[in-house]
Amino acid sequence: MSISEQQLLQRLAALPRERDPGKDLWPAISARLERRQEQVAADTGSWRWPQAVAVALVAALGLSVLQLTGVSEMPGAEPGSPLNDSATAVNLELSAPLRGLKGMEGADSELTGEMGDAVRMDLLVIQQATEQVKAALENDPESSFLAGMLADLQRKELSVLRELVLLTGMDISGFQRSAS
Amino acid sequence: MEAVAKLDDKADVAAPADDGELVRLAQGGDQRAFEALYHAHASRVTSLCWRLCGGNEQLARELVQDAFVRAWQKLDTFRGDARFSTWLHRLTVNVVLSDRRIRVRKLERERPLEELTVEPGVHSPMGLDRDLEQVIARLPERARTVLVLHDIEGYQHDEVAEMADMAVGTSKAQLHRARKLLREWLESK
Repeated sequence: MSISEQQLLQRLAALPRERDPGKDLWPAISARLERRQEQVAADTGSWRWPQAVAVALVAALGLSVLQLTGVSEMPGAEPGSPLNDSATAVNLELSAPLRGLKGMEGADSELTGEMGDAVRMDLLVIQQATEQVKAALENDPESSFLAGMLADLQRKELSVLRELVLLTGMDISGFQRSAS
Repeated sequence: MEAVAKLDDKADVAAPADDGELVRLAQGGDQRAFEALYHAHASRVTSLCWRLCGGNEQLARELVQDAFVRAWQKLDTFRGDARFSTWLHRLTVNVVLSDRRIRVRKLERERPLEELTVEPGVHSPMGLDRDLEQVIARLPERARTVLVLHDIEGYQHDEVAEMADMAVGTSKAQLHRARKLLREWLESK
């Protein structure tokens, strides 16, 4: 029997657009919502926040000590040495892809559940430490040691964001083109 | 040829009129209001998931759950610019396609790419046109996605392309391919 495109489209249009799920899925959905709320409450009130604060404090303390003792260069590096230049180059190299990945609106909110909370916390800790290092760099812009720390933090953030992209299945082809 | 199946109000068939109040309550954390939204929209969301995943009943139920959990989490991003049903169905399509990408990536890790084939779902079609539902389920995934979203759900090619992460031209080509396959298969029945 020959079927015209018009006939096919009419049959498609006539298909039912509702379907009984077969059973009530609400109890399972409700249980997942409850578990998630408990998880968020537990995460917020337990070790994660103190850990984040502790990491930020350690970073701040470490930087203060460095500034007080006058250690401003990467260990073993002379001012203006290739080590300093290298750290600066790494920062410049990493800042473009980081901006691109950060620009993907809502990437972290795509990831849900325990994994999502863990990724968001990782990013928060890294970003807090990055802010501390940037603040210290403003006082001592020539410090290759601080530049190296910043590069390390940016690498870590890039790594977490890349993992986030893989986990959420987000399309980064446009970003990759613009970054290359 | 443009689809005569295209529907002007794609996601809003049988949408209850009082969604707005329920949404407002749910946004304030009222799970009973969200439960009412679930019951109002479950059958449309189920239909969408079921067709997009090729008639796999079990997977469709899991995806319906995922879609409503995601909707609850993102409810604060719903601003009321579109109807709630439109927002919910778009979110559902994203959940289904995102889940598919994760499954495909998992399969790619576990076996060589050339061995990848589309596994047909468990067919238990309902409705009057069982033949048509069965051949839709047999379509390759990308072709089925475009056909379901364009010809059944009424999305435009640019919307389909955005959701399915493909070029508009690819969406059109996949639709042409899907319709051609459907006609061939239906004619051979």
